[in-house]
Amino acid sequence: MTTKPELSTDIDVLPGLAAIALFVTMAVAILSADIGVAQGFEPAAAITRSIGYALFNLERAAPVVTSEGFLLPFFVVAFVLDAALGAAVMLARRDGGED
Amino acid sequence: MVVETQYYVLLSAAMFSIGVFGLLTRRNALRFLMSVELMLNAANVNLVAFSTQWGNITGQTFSLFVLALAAAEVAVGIGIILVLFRSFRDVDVTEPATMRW
Amino acid sequence: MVGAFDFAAAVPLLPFASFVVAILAGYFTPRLLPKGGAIPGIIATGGSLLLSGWLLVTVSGTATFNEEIYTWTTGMAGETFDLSFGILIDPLSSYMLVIVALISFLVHVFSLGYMNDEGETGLPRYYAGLGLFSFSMLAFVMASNILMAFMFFELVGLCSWLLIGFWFREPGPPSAAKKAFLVTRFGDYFFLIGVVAIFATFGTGLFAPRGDELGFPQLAADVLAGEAVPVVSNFLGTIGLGAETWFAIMGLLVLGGVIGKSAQFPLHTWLPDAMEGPTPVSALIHAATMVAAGVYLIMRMFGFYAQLPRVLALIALVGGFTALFAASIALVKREIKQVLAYSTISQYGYMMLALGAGGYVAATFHLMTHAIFKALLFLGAGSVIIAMHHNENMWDMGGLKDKMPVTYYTFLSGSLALAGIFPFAGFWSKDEVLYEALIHGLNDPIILLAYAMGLVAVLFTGFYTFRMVILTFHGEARTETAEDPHGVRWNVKFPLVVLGILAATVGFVNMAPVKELTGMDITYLHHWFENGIHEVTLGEYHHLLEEVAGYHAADLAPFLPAALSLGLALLGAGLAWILYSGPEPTAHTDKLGSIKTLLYNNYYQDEYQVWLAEGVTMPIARVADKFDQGIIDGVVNAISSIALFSGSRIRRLQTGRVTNYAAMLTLGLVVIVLVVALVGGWF
Repeated sequence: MTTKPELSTDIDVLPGLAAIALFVTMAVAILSADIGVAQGFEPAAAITRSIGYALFNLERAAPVVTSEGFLLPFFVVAFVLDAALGAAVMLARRDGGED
Repeated sequence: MVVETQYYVLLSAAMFSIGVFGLLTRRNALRFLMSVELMLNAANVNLVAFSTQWGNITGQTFSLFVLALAAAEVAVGIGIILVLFRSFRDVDVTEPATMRW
Repeated sequence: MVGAFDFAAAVPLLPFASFVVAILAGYFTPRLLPKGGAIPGIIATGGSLLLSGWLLVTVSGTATFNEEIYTWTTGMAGETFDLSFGILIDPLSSYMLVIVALISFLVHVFSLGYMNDEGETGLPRYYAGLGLFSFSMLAFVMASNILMAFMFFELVGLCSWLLIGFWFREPGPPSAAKKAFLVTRFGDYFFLIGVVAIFATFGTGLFAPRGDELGFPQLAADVLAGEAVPVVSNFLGTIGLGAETWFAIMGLLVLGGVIGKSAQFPLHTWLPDAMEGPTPVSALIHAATMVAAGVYLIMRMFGFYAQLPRVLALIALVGGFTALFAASIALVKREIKQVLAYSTISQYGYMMLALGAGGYVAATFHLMTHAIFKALLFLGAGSVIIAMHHNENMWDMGGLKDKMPVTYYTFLSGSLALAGIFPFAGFWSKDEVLYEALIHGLNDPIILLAYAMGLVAVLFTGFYTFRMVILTFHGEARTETAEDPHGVRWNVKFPLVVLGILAATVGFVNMAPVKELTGMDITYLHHWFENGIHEVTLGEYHHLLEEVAGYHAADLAPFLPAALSLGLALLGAGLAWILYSGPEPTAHTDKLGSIKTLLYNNYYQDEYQVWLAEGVTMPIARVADKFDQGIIDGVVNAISSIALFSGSRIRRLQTGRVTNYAAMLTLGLVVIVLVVALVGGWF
């Protein structure tokens, strides 16, 4: 059986005020900034397809939406995910290298 | 009706602040990690909002990468919490306080 | 053609080499020094004597030498001054070099008899001390500037401390050595301030002109004659005093060092205690050379002092007073060396009297004769002390004249010279001192007062000298040791004979009364000092004394004052003969009653100075110490405790909890964003 969710009252609220202060600062800054009108996309643009092409540096094949090539980041992220997997497995092992 | 980009950024800021709040007040290490996830997703929202602003797909592609890395980071984080549990017998982040004056 | 001046630096360096040999060989290879370092010392001082003689001969041909041999720092051009070592060889310094080298050589020979033959230990230390002393004294004499003179002045004080405290395992000598060093150091403190003042005022410390550069006495003369010398005018402007006043202050400061070193009142208390050292040391240092350093300094700087009449009057007064004061104490002393110590103080008072009265030649003449006869008397006393197995009490002696004839006759020669009996050396020099004091004193009451005190001191001198001679040598032996005294060898007799002959004859170089009588130009010493570097010759000094200081000599023939002083000396000697001669002399001094107690305790001067140190200086020192510990150290400690305290509080930020660090990060970010926003005008 699970219990219903409850508001946690045993936490230390005081540091949270720092977070609230951060929000207030950012909100003020954002609301008073002049961002301008959004350019938006064309109504029938093929967004997902463009993302896919952009991932492999094939963006010239997607005629509608401009993008940059992300092939190198793709490889880097693949490497990093691999490393993260290995790290997680290594950490989860018992100390002493038991299998 | 198009929602102005400002409100998306405000949403992102709100999500980020909630994440920071959770980071600062939570005791449980797993809840700590959840707050970190929330902060990363706030950044994603920001990226997508600006992708619409400039009409460039780059923002959205980049946010995909961020998602992937967030997942990796959580994996490693859980491994660390596992080791922490083994050392201190508790997942309370306020317990390990030995590196102090 | 190699000149004597090329070897001038060797004169002090030879004894320095013997010092080094005595120290190194004495410590590492004692077997190489069979006599404990005496042979190198004798060879070195003999060499210095020969070189000094050669220099004397060269200088007599009107050649002089004033060169810089080593610059240790050069000042910024036009702003500050250079500091250097230099050698100045002119009539005065070559004269003094011969005196110092001769006495030093004879003392080294005598030490073979006093120290080696008596089986003393630790001799390398003794001969090293003598060598270092000879080096320092010779270098002091040939110093060309006042800073170098000051350095060697201090160094001779150090050697005096080393040698007085030679038998440091006894309680007396180390205490006496410390007292000597401290009392002279007290005077030297004022001397140092004077040296700094001279450099600051004149920009140079040279005594005599060298090339284009003028020495400071010449610059002072220029200023007082009304010429503008920029360095001096700047300085006088800064301190706001007139030239004459400031020069007088500087003269007084240097005089402080002179009074300490030459044992004048009130800094005379160290000299009688210095008799704790070995007798050859007393002969060399405390009779003939180190105490001469003070009066020699005044003679060297006479061009400066000759323009300050009030300082000269003070010098004469201090000299005359000291002469009388010390002679009165010598009347009642029991130990032979104590009588001689007070006699030394008294005779240096005569030299100061002569200098103060403007009698430059008289003072230098008396310096030479005193060095000879006082060294002779001390060495004779040393011979007697060897004979009496180191018992110095004159009342235990007696009848030694038949058993120690060489010592007796040479001692008698020295005593006749000391008392100033015709025709021994002391008569001519002391007579000239008193004559100069009288003729200048007839125009100046202070000098006349000093003359009167010097004249009474002649009576006392004659008395105590002959009391000493009669009690020691005449009558019948009063103890067994006196009946069978320990014999002395050639190494004791040879210096005594040499000095005895000199004490009888050296006065003939300057017989002023004979010159007056016969008109023959035989005052050789006057002529000697007329040559040399022009600005530091006798003619220039006379000119300065008469023009600037306003000294005028009265016109008086020297016969009457000479007869007066001779008569007083003979009266004193006769009185001593009447009271003490005969087989069993009685101690008459007790008849003086409480005066005797006063005199025997040296007018309580020693106790007075100890009281000054304990009662006056100690409390001041304590207050200063409290200030130093409490305030100065307190400030420094407070700074460190502030750092420690704040550190211990601030480090509590490191709680070790990640959430706390995250909170601080967030706060920091908020603050930065706010600052950037406010500065950048986002709102």
